[in-house]
Amino acid sequence: MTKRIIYQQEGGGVAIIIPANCGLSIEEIAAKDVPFREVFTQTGTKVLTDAQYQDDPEYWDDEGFSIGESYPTGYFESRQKPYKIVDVADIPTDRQWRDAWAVSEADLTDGVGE
Amino acid sequence: MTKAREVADLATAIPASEITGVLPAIDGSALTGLDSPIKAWVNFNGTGVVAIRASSNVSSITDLGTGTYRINFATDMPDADYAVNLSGNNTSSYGYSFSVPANGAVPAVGSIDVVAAAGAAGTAGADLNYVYVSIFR
Repeated sequence: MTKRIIYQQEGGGVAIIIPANCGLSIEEIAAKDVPFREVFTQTGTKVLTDAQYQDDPEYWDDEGFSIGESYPTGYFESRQKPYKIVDVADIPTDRQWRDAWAVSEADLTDGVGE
Repeated sequence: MTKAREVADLATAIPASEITGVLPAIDGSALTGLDSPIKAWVNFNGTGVVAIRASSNVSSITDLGTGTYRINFATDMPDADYAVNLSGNNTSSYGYSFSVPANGAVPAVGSIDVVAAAGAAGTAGADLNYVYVSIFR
């Protein structure tokens, strides 16, 4: 195939999917092999009470909230990472600085919202 | 005359030219219990434009960085207890080590991360001309 699929890795950097001749289309491979991530959707805010804080102070300290402060409420859902299908010619061939390659999430417009 | 001799005489008693007919066709559809332990394999070039040369039951590979790749299976493994054989080399040098799974990764039913390093395991990753991965279960 002359196409590649790119997406952002969790720790930074770019992942590049190289499709195999397996009978699947590039879109089907993207749907299958681009990983998912947990996305937080905020639905409101609440004020952190003393009782809530005392129940798990380590958690609230890690989250950076103190008693009396507002914190976001909502839910997490698993969504596929945004990706982009590009021509193989768009991928650099000089891999000397491969681990420093980066891509803006704003450019990853394929598959979003599917 | 021994029995072995009698059988031999019978076998030679019918000239091959007098044997007619054809063997029954076997299409394999009725065969059961045949299951190769090799569940997936891939041969790819990890340098320049990373490209798959040939593969089976692999939907794609993911280039995660220098010498680090994810093998994505077309059909998932039955569980994550499979075995992986990983090897490879460059045409210009030798002396690499391989780690499966890659550091920090765990085998999954749908994929496995592998890494090739230039030297002892844990050293910097290395892109290789020839990378061979096979999965057994």
